[in-house]
Amino acid sequence: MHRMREAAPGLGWYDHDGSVGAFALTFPAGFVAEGADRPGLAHFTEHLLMAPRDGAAHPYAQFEEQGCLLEAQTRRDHLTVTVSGPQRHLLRAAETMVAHLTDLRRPADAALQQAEIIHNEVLEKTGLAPRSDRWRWCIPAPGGGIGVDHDPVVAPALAGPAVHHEAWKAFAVQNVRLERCSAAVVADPALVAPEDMESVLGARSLPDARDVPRPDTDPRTVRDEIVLPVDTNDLAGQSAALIAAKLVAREVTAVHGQAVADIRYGLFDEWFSENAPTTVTVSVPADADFGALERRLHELRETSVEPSAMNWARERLSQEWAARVTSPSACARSMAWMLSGGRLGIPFAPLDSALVERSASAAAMLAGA
Amino acid sequence: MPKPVTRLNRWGTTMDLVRRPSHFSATTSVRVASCDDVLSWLCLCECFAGGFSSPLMRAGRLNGTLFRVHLALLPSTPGDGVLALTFTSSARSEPTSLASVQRALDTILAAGEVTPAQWRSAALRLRTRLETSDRLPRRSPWHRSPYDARLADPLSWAARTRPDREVYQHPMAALMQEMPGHHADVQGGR
Repeated sequence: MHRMREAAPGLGWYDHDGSVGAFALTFPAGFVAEGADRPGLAHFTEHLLMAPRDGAAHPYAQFEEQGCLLEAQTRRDHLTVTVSGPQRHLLRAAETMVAHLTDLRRPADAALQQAEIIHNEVLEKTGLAPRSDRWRWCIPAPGGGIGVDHDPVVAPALAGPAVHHEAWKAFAVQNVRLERCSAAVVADPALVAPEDMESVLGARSLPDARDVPRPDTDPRTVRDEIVLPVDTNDLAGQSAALIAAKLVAREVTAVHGQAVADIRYGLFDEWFSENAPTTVTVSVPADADFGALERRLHELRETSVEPSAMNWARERLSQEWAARVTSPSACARSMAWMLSGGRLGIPFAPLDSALVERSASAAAMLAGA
Repeated sequence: MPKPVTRLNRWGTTMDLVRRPSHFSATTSVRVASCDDVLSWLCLCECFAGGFSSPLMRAGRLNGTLFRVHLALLPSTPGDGVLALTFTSSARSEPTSLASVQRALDTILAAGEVTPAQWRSAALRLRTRLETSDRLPRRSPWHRSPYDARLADPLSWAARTRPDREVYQHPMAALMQEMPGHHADVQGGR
């Protein structure tokens, strides 16, 4: 069975023999890097970086001509670019992407245009009701407030003008540096040689995961849910938190009798993508018996976790994880995120029952706003 | 705001089919009786709106300020599908966006046919999307024939199948006819 591995320093690799492969580049240029007084700068920078260079839609036209597709996204801890396409064109696509990222010249009207595109993106993704969107309430920023005080996407988008048009290049120069990016490739090494990809990307030195900014985490909930704090960066600790959440979700389902409780990792439910501290939350149906649930949670906190229960949770989460990284692009992106936080590996195996118990004991029920 | 009625689009993500303020949606019925029909429409959607190489996305994202212009095939009654054109725009950019999309539809209708290069490019991108886009199931989530049939490799299928202008001209013209009827009220969240 293939495994995610670090083929070279800062280069994750997953052997894949399908016709289509993918690579992802992750930069430490997420919301935490933008600073408390500049909400929206990271997302705006992503748009400007990825903006077409000219009327011929460079570099998108080159990618698409070869059957490649480009995606970019900004999250709390990072900015990620993913390219998927025919394996025989991946190396060329990486060269094109590197050239695009290192040349920050954009059309004169790009800032205003992208500001309005972000506005429309927010309206689309939030179903035209951005102010009621949940995740905006729990975005932490270093040294700053959370939520309305630092809303990295919605508020600047609705503000209208391109408020960061003068700042994005400096932010990109400081944070979107190839030599500091984690890269991940999903491809057949016979078709895309790891050393060739290394050559295209150049020498890199990832930031030490221990040095990443530690944002204040003070999630504000807008619904009833159970929160499990994740205080460790490493894979074992984050896996244990997910296992504990699965066990908590089972209790919720048992108490409610019908609804299956959802588990949500971090802000965007992208497993192993966020640096600690972050949270795993378990949804609680509004009509659940909260008293009964509190008692079950108390028992879960007080007793040791049965090995059979842990195996049950591990089996299901392993299946979910496999489904989450089935496509080459999702696999490449997840690998790059894990690598950037120093937690590349096989989740849920092995598992430390003491870590699971510690996570379960930290589960706290929060009432909705 | 009431929860919008949504359905899964061809990429497995939800798409609102109900007109809301600042959200344009035009639909028309198309014949979808076989796997070939499904692939044909997936390829045509990719060709017309699937990326910066396509006229609708160029109009929306390259020359305009729309985040996406969606053109999607959705299931309907047996033998039929729904072709849906949607995009979301702020009130500020709505007039420009509508005009820009309208011009792109004009261009599609005025063009003689889809060129072999455009067809191959669309098939190439469709293959990548089918293989790698997130949450896109290889089988559709609709559980309705022929949508949930296992589709052939788009590239080899497109190599032996040419797009038929007769197939897409009328539906695209029908979408075009819905454009001026769009209303623009107050956008949500302002």
